Amino acid sequence: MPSTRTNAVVRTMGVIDRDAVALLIPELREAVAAGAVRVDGAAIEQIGQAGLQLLLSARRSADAVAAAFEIVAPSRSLCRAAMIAGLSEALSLPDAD
Amino acid sequence: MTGDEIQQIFFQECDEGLSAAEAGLLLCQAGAQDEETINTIFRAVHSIKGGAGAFGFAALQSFTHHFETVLDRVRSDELALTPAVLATLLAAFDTLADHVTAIRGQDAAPDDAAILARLQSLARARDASPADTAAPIPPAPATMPDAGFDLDALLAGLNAAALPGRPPWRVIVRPEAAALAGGSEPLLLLRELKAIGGRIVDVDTGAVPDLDRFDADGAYLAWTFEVPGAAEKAAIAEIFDFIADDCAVSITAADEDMDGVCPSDADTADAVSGAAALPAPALDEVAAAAVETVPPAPPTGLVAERRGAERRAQDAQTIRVDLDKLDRLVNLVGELVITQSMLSQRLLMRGLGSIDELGDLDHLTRELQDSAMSIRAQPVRWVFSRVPRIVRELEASTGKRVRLEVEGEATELDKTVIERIGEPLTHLIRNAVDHGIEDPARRIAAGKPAEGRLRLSAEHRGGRILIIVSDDGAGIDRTRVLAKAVEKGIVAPDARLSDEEIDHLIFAPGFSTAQQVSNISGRGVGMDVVKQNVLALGGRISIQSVPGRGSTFTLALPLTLAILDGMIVSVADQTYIIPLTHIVESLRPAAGAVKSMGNGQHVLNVRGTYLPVLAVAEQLAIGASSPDPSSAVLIVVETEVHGQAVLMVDAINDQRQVVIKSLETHYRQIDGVAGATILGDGRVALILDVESLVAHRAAGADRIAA
Repeated sequence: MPSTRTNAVVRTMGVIDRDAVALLIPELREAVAAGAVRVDGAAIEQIGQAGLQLLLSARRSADAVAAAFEIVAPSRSLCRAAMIAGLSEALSLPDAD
Repeated sequence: MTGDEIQQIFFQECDEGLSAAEAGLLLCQAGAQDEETINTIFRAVHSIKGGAGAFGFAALQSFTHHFETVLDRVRSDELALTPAVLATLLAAFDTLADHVTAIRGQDAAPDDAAILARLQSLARARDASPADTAAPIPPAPATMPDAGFDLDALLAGLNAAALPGRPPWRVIVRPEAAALAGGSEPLLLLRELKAIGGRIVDVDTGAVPDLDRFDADGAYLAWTFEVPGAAEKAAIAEIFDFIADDCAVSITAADEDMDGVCPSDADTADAVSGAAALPAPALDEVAAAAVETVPPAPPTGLVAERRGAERRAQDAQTIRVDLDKLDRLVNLVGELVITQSMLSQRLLMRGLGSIDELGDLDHLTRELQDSAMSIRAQPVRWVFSRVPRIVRELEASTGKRVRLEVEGEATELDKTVIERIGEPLTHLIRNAVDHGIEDPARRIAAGKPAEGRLRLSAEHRGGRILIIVSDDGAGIDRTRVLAKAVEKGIVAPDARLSDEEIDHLIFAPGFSTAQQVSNISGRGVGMDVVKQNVLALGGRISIQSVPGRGSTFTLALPLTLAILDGMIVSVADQTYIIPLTHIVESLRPAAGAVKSMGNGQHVLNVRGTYLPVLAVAEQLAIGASSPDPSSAVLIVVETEVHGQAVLMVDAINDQRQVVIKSLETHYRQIDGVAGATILGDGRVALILDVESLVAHRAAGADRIAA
């Protein structure tokens, strides 16, 4: 399972590949509709372009409806992938190294 | 070029990739790895994966994908390279080699389920290293130059500054949906760009839709990189080799858009695929990047080192040449050597031997010959690289522990020798582990470390290449070897043999001393085959063994199979070549040194040892030679099987390198003759097969103790 949702927190975990992305889309849409997108990235072990562009899309969608967007406790893997892709700032993530 | 030919190139690249990956893994095993080592292994596996995808080798592509994922975690410091992780990587490497063998149709695809499970476990494992944490990593303070700075970018900047004539490259990358669908990860390509000094100047996120229109299979991002001009464009393009169809990539000189003066310069502008569809980056950013000036700085140690690495990379550039073309070149050079020799002799006969140009021609011809031969030479690493796996498998099947030490892998040997030496070497390695090195309990009881030592080395010595396999095992049990040889009827029960002769009995056909026939060293036929293969290459094999301390097998191999150093001798009215490798000494016998045995046979007393004298004229049945040994020239030769003997010839004429011509190709095989050559005067001379001549004569006249 790529995610579990508890109290409006979209918890992501493991490998965020295209299959995982497909499962996360409806959860993120729901979170946007609820007015706050909080993504728990602590357990992300692997993420690539598919996952990063999903997070970017979620942020855009949240911004469009003035909903909050936050990635909580991003893992080192997530930070590093975002840094390689030049998306750290767009996703408000710290550099990994 | 046909599809098959392209596929053959891929197979060759697989071999090179496997070789590089294994060398890297062995460095890791020795604890000597650095970041570049891991990168090298990763790149090798990644390249194989790319080719596998391109040629539709699905199983190989899938396996390399999982292998690459774990390697990527290691090089990203997300997974510590513990002994357990390394063991999995080594096992994965072995399976990868099996997959490559399978796609060549040489074997069935390996069962990789178990190793795949291990790789997948590592791909998901949480690293125990303190560096890995789920907590957010605070950004490094900008004032700390030693934390979080981008060394590659810094070096790239310095390099670009030092090469003002080379503007930086602007690389635009837009992966298409198919790239993600094919299992590729564009981020890996971005990382490769960073590794050669690239830095992101723009990320185009304009195509990313909102969640309602988001398709998990879509690809919505594009990146603009600036790569230092010092990087070769080919090196940049190479990164996208295996994804070019699924990824729009444009590589242009950064100053092109700045002033717009060189749009047609084919050397600095290139679109790999679909560049026209790509959005241009903000001009001000590109211009800023292009006009940014960095004060000239003296090369730092790091920069100098990097430049050295680049130069080495350029030096190491290679081209692939069809082997037939190469052999034709070598043959033509051989003909040229012969023609030069004939010309030289003709001029000498007309009193023109001292002209300068003749000396120059001789010198140039020799250099040309050496160069042509060196093209065929390959590092012995190609053969040595298969040994670690053999040892790993032997450790697993015997329960013995072996530390393999390899030295001299860069030593070069003729390609044919390299190709033919693999099997004998493999058998020697198996023999050393199976019969030589004891199991840990016995070793400890004998006061040795539990781990046995197996040393494999290659070196260039005296015009030959020595390949040495040594172990610190039990050594040859001569009592048992002799008893076995007697039992098998290989030697007479009352034979008095030296230690060396007993050791050589293990090369006798059908000889085996293994208490239980194992499936490792076979059934005792291998050592015989080892010797035959080595002899067939014009080489020799020798053994040194010390009970309780181990054995050393030394293979002495010729540098090339095309040329040999020979002594030119005359017998009757014929000229022959005796290979110098066999010659111990030559002499005119003192009166009484040659004794008659009374049956037409003679022996020569050489410092207390009587050696049989073989009249070459008699052996080759050409007659008309001097029947009296005391008035002839005697040449003491060394053979593998029958020790020393003496060849009797009429005179020694010269000593020189000769080009070997196969007699079998042009005529047929003749006992006692190894081949032919063409002499300077245009005559054909036969090259004597010393082993065969001595063996022929040896039946009843071996060495006689004085």
